[in-house]
Amino acid sequence: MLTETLLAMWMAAAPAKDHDPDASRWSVGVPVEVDLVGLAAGAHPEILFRPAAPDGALTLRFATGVMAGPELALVPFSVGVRGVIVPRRIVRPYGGLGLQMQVFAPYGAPARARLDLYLELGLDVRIVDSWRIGMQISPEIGLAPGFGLGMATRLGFQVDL
Amino acid sequence: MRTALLLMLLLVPEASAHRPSTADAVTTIDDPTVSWVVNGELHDGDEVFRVKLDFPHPFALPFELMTEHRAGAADFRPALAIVGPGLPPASDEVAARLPLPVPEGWGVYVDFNEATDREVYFEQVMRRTMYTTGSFAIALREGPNEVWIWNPDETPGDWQLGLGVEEDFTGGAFSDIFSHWGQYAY
Repeated sequence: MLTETLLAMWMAAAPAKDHDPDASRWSVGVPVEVDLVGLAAGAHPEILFRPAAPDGALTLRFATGVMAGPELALVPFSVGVRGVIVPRRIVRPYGGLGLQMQVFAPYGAPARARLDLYLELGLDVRIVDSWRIGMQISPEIGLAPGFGLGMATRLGFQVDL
Repeated sequence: MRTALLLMLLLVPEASAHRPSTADAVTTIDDPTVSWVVNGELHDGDEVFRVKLDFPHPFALPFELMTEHRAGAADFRPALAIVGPGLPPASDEVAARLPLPVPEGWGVYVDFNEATDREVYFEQVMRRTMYTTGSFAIALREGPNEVWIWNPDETPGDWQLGLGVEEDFTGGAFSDIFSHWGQYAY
């Protein structure tokens, strides 16, 4: 997945020859998320920006959300990079990575934050014009202040602004 | 998912947690001088888990017993007894409440988990919120010692015994989490 991401970033850096003049650099995604490590579910909206080209592969991702479960609620703040494979196709696989500050609010105990490295692997499908639906898995690993695990699964839609 | 998590573990240069282990009716801790979390499940309520610790030298060992912090498990309060040579002898009242006879020459430290207010602890590796007895250290003598875990109320439930301080994750220490995923994850 890392290799795919780097390849997609390299492809995005190369000058595109025939941009879609109507393409937007910005998209908004609204996935429903289920966290499988520490069960929780909620919405994890994301803003996507394509800095190299409006229809390019390189995408910056900024996301936050709220998830709640039987033992805790959590609020992640994420910044990362995503490489979309064949970005102009109807069906697009992608991979990415980034950093995520997880704020855990366990019921009955003080809130605490953890910095995670997250990976993401997903697939989206254009349904009409600038609307896409997609699914994604995102393993997470705690870096500081200590080790930890995470695994998010997402299902949602994305629209170009 | 397990494969993905295992691959991610390769990226981690250092971990901060207890070494996981799953309890059998009698569990022997290979090296009690490093930290462990022993995970067990009381099925029919009248079981007694015995965790055996054999120290090469006298050792002050921290303990805590944790249970799930959720509505369905709020009344699950397993008891913990640390049994070994050099500990105070059990009174007749305490001995009557223990699930096993204390070996000759041994004493006992017992926590019947009856505190009205319990500390709540967030375990960030598996993102679990747990009731805990709170951590306490007991000075143990060289040689064999045991920890007994049972539930006087004879109700089933999951428990985790945390013990030790020094971390050692060599030799595939986290593999127990993935082979017993259902006991560690929510």
